Amino acid sequence: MSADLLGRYVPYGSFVHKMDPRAKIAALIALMVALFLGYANYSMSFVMAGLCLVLFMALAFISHTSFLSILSSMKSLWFMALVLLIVYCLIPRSAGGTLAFYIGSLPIYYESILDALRILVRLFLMIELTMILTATTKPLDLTFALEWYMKPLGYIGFPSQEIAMTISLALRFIPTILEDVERIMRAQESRGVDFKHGKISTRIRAFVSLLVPIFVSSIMRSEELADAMGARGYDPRGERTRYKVLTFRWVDALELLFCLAFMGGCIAISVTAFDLFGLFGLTVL
Amino acid sequence: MDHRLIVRAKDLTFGYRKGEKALRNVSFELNQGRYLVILGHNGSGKSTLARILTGLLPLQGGELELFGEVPTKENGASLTRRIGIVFQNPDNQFVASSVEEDIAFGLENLALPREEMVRKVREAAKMVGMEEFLNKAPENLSGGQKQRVALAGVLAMEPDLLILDEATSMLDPKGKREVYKAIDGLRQTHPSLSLISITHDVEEALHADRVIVLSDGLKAMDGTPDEIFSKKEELKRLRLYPPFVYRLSSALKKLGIDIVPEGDLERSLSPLWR
Ligand SMILES: Nc1ncnc2c1ncn2[C@@H]1O[C@H](COP(=O)(O)OP(=O)(O)OP(=O)(O)O)[C@@H](O)[C@H]1O
Ligand SMILES: [Mg+2]
Repeated sequence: MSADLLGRYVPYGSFVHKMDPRAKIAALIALMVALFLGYANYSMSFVMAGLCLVLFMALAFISHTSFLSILSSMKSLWFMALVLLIVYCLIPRSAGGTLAFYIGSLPIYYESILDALRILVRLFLMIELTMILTATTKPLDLTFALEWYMKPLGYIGFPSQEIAMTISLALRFIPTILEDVERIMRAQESRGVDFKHGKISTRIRAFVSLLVPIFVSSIMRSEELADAMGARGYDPRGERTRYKVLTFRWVDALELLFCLAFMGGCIAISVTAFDLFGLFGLTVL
Repeated sequence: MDHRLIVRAKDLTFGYRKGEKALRNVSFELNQGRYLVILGHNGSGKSTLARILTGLLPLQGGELELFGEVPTKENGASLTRRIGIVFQNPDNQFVASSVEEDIAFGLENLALPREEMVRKVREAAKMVGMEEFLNKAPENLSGGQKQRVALAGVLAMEPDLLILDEATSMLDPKGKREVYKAIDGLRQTHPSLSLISITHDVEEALHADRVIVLSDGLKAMDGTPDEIFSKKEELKRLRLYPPFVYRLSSALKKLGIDIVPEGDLERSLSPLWR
């Protein structure tokens, strides 16, 4: 298994790492809002996206998350880009637009291409931002923060504590089950099962030979885990205290405030339909 | 030392499916501070017995008294809370993503205040010699270390009875030694702690106060280690191999040399030098 999973937590002491995960989630949402707002025109959208890019790159730099490695590992996005472009070009434009060229008898508008491009840039930046979050926050801290946000739902009977426990157990057992996968794969390979070559049908059969033992071993693990938890007095509905506590410091508040201010600025630019290009008397798409 | 009765089990019987019995009429008693070893082959019902004692399985047949009380719906949880159990697989009982949080898991369930948890986690980690690993994730620990964390998680809850269900059988020799060392230390610092160790390692049984042998869900033998391991014929019938000192002593006997086999090999052999 690739140890170098995308967006995997990388321990480092940057202030992004140290930020309270609850504040980080709130900041993430604020920045995403800023990213997905509608602006006066395409050019303004790209200018604002550029602004976000600069901010995210700074964050990536500070937190030692490699921006370029994320970029290069998003190869699969090219396929999505193509699909998006085709879809946007096929959707008939009711509002009309500026004709670019014809493919056969199909008119292609600049706006369709720009729409596809805009959504792509935004998706890329959104993924980028999420990666920075997951690369700088322990999965369990994220679960913890989510549980904190779900707390109010607990009062109306939503099983937020159970969900958080389930997620954190799943996270806890991912490495263990990956080890199982590797062990069973080696065992099957030594019996002549080939996972990498051959026809699709043989490879599917090889894959099934992996799936069944993994499933069985995971079920056995879960039964023993349930016993171990039960023996230590776990009651999903019972009252529990938590050993781990999150501390919200004033720097967290400052950092969050900065992101909120950024969002506020973007909202202002959006609602006033501010056009930087219009200021210089330029008319742009 | 107080010799209160910790466990009184009479005719315990249990079946997972109708018509099949994993445990049949097993009776035994355990006093405070004593060390009981339950020996038996795979499938002999050892874990079933442990699960009944810890309340993970309901009582189907027979009588059970824990700490002088009969477990009921009302007091069952408060009685089984005083019993800690460590299972076989080190990975499958590691609940949290770091050592300290895992040790704290049982304390969280008791809804203790945080300061108290912090103190108890430290103490328990120290008892098993894991105080330097508090921040470590389970992936970065050896099997023996993970088992010591499991032990600490149970000890933090301050049990009166500790059950080890083949707690060392998946460990390498080094890991086994680490866990045994932690348990030996514990028995010295906590003389009132009662211990049930489930194993198929006859060597471990040498150190017990009392040994029970299970076979096909039935209690096949019951006595002190010496009583059990001197009955060679019966052991053979149960496909159990006597511990090394007992095999050595019977081999020496054939040569006309008498030694008294006991847990400590050197002490057993000391008459040879006199
Ligand atoms: N959850 C279960 N459901 C059905 N049958 C079970 C279950 N657990 C155990 N058994 C059966 O009950 C019998 C006793 O099992 P138990 O686990 O108590 O044995 P054991 O002495 O602990 O064995 P081992 O040394 O393998 O741990 C076995 O025949 C086993 O197949
Ligand atoms: Mg067992």
